[in-house]
Amino acid sequence: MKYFKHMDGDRIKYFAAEGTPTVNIPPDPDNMDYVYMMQEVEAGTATIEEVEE
Amino acid sequence: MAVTKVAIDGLDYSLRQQNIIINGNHIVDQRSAETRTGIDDGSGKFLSDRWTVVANGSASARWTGSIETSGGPVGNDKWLKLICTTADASPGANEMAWVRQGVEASNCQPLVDTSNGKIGAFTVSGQLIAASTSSFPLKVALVAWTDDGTARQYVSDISVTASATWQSFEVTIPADATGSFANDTGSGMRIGFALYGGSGRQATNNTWANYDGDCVTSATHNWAAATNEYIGFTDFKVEPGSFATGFEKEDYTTTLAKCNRYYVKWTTASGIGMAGVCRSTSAGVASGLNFPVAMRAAPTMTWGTANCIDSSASGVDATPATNAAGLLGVTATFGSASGLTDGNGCVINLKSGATWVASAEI
Repeated sequence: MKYFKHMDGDRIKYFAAEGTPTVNIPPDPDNMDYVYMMQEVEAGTATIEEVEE
Repeated sequence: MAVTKVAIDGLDYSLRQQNIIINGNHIVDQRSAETRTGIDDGSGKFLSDRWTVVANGSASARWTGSIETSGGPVGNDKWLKLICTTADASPGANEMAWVRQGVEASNCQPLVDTSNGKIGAFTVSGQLIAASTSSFPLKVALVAWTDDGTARQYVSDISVTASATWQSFEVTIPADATGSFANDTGSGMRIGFALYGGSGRQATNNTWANYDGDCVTSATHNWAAATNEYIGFTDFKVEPGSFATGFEKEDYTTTLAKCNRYYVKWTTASGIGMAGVCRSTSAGVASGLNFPVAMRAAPTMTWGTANCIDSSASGVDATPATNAAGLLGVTATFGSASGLTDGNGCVINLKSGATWVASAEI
């Protein structure tokens, strides 16, 4: 699984998983989708790629 | 006959205590248009608001969920029904599925034992129905998992006396001097009914233990033993103390507001529209949404197609994206809005059939 990190300068706007660009996950540690994403990254089953807009 | 007035401070306010469960009678169902068949292994399938089916351990049984509007315990009561559509009579050790509600830790505070700050005794009650071709009585497992401090679990079998027959249940879960609830916006407790579980998911009945992902006992019936077995429930209540008080049937908007803290769905039926400003034909439109209530966390937004109208266009489709999401609202940009004029104000409507969703579920 790959996630895209959408940036506005130094600010993270949202994360979106590859294939679901209209599902926007905020950089909030209380958001469970964000928590699951970071768990996947930590487990090595997902990566995050930065996108500058 | 003389009437004696009673002073208000003489009334017994312990009756009908606060329910920490939201939407215990399933009157709010914002996801009603979603497919609810073939519910399988995965991170969770939400049904009526705040209630989700979660399966783990490569669970092979499948379920169909529905919010029933007839056949409830009384009159037009709504109830949640989970019927087995793919059976698993001999589940693997770690297979399991359950229907549960995640309770925000701050909402668990009424259950705190004020003498030691740990988990006090609390009572779970409601109306339950189950059907099977096996001989009754059969057991349905009530399951509680706590998440803060030392995570704990409690499984209690409820005896169901007859098939497809509503019955009341009341289970008092004793105090636990090990477990605790944080006072924050994270998950404090998950509570609900097991649909089935393998041998590795068995706990000791009516005993607090450290969390091990257990959801049944050795005596719990396997409700995935055959297709068309089902469990249904309504009026689910969790309250402090050792006895149950009546279920309060809230008005719809009160329950909806509580549910909106975790999930908001805008549809064209809700008549959503926003004001916006055209940034340029290439950058699209800037706008935003306010949430009905403060959400539990900054929500994940799922954006459907919008239609933007300014004075120079009859309406062009645009794909929204989050700019910044917070507890009270989200700002968004709407790309691909060519045909609009830079600097014009505009109206943004949700395109027919599309939805916008904000989710801060536990």
